[in-house]
Amino acid sequence: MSEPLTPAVFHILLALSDQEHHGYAIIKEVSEQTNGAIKLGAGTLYGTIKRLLESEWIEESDTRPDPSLDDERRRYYRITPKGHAAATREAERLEQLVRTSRAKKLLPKLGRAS
Amino acid sequence: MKLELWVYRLMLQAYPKDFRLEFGHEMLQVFKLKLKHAKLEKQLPAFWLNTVFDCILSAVHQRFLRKGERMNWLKQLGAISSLLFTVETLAFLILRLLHSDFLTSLTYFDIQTKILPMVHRGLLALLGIGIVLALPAKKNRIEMFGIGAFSIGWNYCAVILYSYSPDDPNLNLTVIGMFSALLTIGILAMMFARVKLVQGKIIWSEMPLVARALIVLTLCNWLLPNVLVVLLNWNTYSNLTPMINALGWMALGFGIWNSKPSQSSTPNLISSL
Repeated sequence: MSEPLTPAVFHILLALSDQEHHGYAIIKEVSEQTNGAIKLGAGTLYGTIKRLLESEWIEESDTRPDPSLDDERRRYYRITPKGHAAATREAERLEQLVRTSRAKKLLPKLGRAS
Repeated sequence: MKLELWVYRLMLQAYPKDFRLEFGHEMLQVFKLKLKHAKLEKQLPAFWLNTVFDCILSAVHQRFLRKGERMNWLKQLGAISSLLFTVETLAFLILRLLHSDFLTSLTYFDIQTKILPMVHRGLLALLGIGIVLALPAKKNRIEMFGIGAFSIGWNYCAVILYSYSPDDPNLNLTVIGMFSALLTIGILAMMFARVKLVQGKIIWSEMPLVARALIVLTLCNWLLPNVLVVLLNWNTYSNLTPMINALGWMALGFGIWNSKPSQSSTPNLISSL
């Protein structure tokens, strides 16, 4: 079984799972996903991006949504099939944890949540 | 925003050069946008706190990753302490520049109480970074952090002793300084005895780094200033100590920078005690 991903890695993969983003957009997306609980700093973000690029879980994208409005040197990142598979594995692991939590009555059963 | 960008550019220097070249520009852009947002939301203190901690942790992480080493808790603690010290010093410096009018009303008292301690701390901070980044062997780094902890611990003991001494404060400081020196000399004597036992002779360049560090620390921090005060009856204790300390630490930093790793056959501080 693969090791759990760190929160930063999982949230970045999650942010890139449906759309290409540049660094600041990833920070905003992660903040929205977690209701502001996780605010990635630039150092953590680019340190993680570096690792993800090296593991080929994400890659740089050549396409730009609107080049005229964008800084030329700004880089966009997209998830690779390998990264997608890793994010899916992590989501499944978390789902299993939620199921266990429900069985142990830490969480209400589905349908009974108010 | 110019000053903030300058500070962040300075903070970026903490990252390895290749990392900075690859991501520095983007990090600066992200910083600008986050700063703008924090100003709008009036959350500047939280923003700076997060930025400083993020920089410290990620820079240390990148530095150690670069050397292909996994950090254990002791190295991580030491590295973070050194960088925190640096950031603290920089923060003091910036605050002084922003808030003080010392350019127009600089007094002798200001020099004694603000500038000299700042310079002293700055040198210590540089030394801290030097230790973390430049020491050639893992064992040396751990030994140096041990020395740092010993020095800080003893300084605190001295402060406590001083605060309980009712008589002449200068005399008490001198006595405490001399006592510190004697204690360190005792530790060194034990180490020398052990080195001689193992190697047959004592050569400065082949001595354990920790012993060299203790010698410089003893001479510059405790022994020399106090001996001068006693022998020459100099009434300039507060002037002299920071200067000698600073010179000593610089020399030590330079020596460490150029030092070879400790030989595995030489004893470390713990085994010597």
